[in-house]
Amino acid sequence: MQLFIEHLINGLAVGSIYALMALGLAMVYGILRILHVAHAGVYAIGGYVGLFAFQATDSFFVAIAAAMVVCAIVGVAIEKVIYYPLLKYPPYVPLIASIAIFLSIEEICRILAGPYILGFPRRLALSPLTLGSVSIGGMQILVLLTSFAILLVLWFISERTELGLAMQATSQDMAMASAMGVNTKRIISITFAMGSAVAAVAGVLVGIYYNQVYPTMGAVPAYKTLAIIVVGGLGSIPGAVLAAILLGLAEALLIGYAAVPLPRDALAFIAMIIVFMIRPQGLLDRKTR
Amino acid sequence: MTMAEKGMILRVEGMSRYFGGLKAVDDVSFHVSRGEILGLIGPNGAGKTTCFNVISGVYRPTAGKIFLEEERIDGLPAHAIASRGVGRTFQIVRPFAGMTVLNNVMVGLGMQRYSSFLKSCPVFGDSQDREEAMAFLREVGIEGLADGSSSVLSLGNLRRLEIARALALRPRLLLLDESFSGLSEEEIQQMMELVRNIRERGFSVLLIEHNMRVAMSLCHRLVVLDHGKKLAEGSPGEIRTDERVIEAYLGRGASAHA
Amino acid sequence: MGGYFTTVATMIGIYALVASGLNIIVGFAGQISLGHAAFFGIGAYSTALLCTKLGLSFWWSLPLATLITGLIGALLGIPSLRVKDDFLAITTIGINFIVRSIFLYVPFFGGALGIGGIPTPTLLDTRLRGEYYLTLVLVLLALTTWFVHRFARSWTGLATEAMREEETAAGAMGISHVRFKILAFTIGSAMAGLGGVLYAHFVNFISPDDFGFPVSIMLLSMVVLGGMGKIWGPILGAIVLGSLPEVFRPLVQYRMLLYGAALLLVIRYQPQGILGEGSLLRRLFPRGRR
Repeated sequence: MQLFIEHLINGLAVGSIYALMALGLAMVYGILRILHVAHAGVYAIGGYVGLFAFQATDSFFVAIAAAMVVCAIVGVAIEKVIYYPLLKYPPYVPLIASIAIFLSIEEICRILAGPYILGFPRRLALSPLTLGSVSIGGMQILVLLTSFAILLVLWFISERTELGLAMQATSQDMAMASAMGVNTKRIISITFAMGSAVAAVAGVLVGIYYNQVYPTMGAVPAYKTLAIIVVGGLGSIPGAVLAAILLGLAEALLIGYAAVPLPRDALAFIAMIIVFMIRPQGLLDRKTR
Repeated sequence: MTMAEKGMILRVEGMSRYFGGLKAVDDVSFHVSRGEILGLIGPNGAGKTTCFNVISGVYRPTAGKIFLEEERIDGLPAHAIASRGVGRTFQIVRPFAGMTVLNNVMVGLGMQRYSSFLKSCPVFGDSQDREEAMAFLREVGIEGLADGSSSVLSLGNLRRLEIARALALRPRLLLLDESFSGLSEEEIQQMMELVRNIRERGFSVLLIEHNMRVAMSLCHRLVVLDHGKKLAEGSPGEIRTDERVIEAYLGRGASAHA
Repeated sequence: MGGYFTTVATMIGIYALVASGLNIIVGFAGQISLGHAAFFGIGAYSTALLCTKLGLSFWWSLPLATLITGLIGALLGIPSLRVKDDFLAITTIGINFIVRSIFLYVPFFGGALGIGGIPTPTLLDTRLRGEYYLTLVLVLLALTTWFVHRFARSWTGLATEAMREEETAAGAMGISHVRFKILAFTIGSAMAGLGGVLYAHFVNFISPDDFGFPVSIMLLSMVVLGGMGKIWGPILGAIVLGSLPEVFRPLVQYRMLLYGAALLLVIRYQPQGILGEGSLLRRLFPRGRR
């Protein structure tokens, strides 16, 4: 039982990191209908910036903030320079561009920081929380609290502010939103900035959680998060969050209990194919498409 | 009744199509006689295009039966219905935009070839195929545009191209979905002439029309739909004086048939 | 002519063949696929198993493995009947991941170590190595290119293109999207399988990573870069993308970055492909084919 709860909490922590990653991807898809594979490159940049900032200042909050700022800038640059001019072409064109950006980011990280796995200094040791016989690692608490806080802030922005309303309107129907006086170009940029900043947090958290930052750290998440947002119903943000957390739990339990030699990373795709067969519109329905 | 049945090209019995809770077409029955032009009219959202989509196999009917002459065709996939001799055009034109005008028609011409794998292997577009396809373009009056791209045609010419393409199937029944909308007065006259000629060559036509004047002067009979249900059926003269029809059109604001 | 040039040219020839197959699926039928490396791999693993476990000769294994891959392609093309565009792209990525996982985790396929000892083919007592093998690849490339040309000019090709342009209107013209999509996946996969066979017998040793998602990206990039739906597009794309890493080889450290940047530049400024409508090459030489 106690082992089960530990698996559960581990799954929840991993799932919430997936959720942070998938969130930005779902936001971008919702607004531009682009599969933003390079999002995982932004996440890797977040991991590196966070690491270097942490080494320089020894502060978790500075690390997070620096990563968010840098990634927001990178995200907006990708949108303005590459995606926006390609919007009029069929979807595979921006998709290939995105893959090319991702490849380039991985290489830039490798050239600048070296091909090795870098670790966070051990100074961030947090004491575990013990509840009865169950002990929850300090890292897990940090990850869960940070993710939860970010999700809460995003929920507040999208549901309770003018900006959120404009973002929703733009993703529903860009021409209509534009006709209603929404500056859609600016909304798109804000979407990219926010999504990328959140990916940066995910990058820093993963770096701390696994104590690993390396150039290709985005490779598996890049495609796994695609599967997640499909399962969540492409473009649906709550759906993506739900799917991400379920996947994190499923992976943790699979590794914890199942004896099948099934690769953990294939689970997302298997889930995706099952979803396609029974519910092509994803877990949570979204009418506009 | 038996006399009429003998001459029936299309018979629709109790056809319904629901989208979730929306009854787009609700228990509609009518028929098209051989050599007839039947008009399907009604206000916006009456279910006319849905009717077409069910008859041509784009959607499955929720209920009801559809017969093409003796054969039951409801529920068959679109390509199977097309190959049985139902040609159609689209309200929002759908040309094969990356192809030349001639090749657009050539696609319809190939239908017999698609029936078997071996027949679909030979090279298309020999001089005989070309001549055949040109004849259809000539019939609709756009043979001069044959070798140009279909993506640059005007709306009127696109509607003609869609008719030529449908005729290339040599259909028993031709479905025309608002072939007159968006055309100038002159183009409308030409198009009416074209539809009459098509009928005289022996094709049976079922058409959706918004323009009352066109529908009244072109069609032998009219079926009026409203809210997915059949409201009335009869000759243009009967429909013009039918109170329910007048109410359906005028009672709900003039915008419906503006 | 050194062995190095021959090796690079052989690889380019193989990739051109595989990319031409992808062009049938993506270019002619309009079905986006980001999992083509899976079929490349299925061809390679089929021939590797047929030759090393069953002792078949290359000349028997070649058609057999091609056929097997075509049939599996028909099966894995079924999702295209249900999902489109972006959904299909992600599904095919998933197929690629799952196929690679099977190679990697099922012991029968040799796991991470892959399969070695795949024989070099012989013809008339001559082992086909170096230039001989290159010749074999080029002959098969020429044959498949002729086949693609024939396909593009056939009624089947016309129907496939009509389906790509307007699926609903094609249905109204009697064209079954089921039949022509599955056919495109079968032909395209079979060509990938043929390329896989040539690859396996060329390098003599294969492992799951040779057929991962990055290879699928490269293949799709070749098709898009050259110009989708153009017969010569994927071949030109394979030459450009196949030789770029070699051109950049002296800059070992920056090689892959330059590759990524070059791909990005082309797709950003020539999104229709080098041979596509309105491309620089077409504007410079306006009297092109077709």
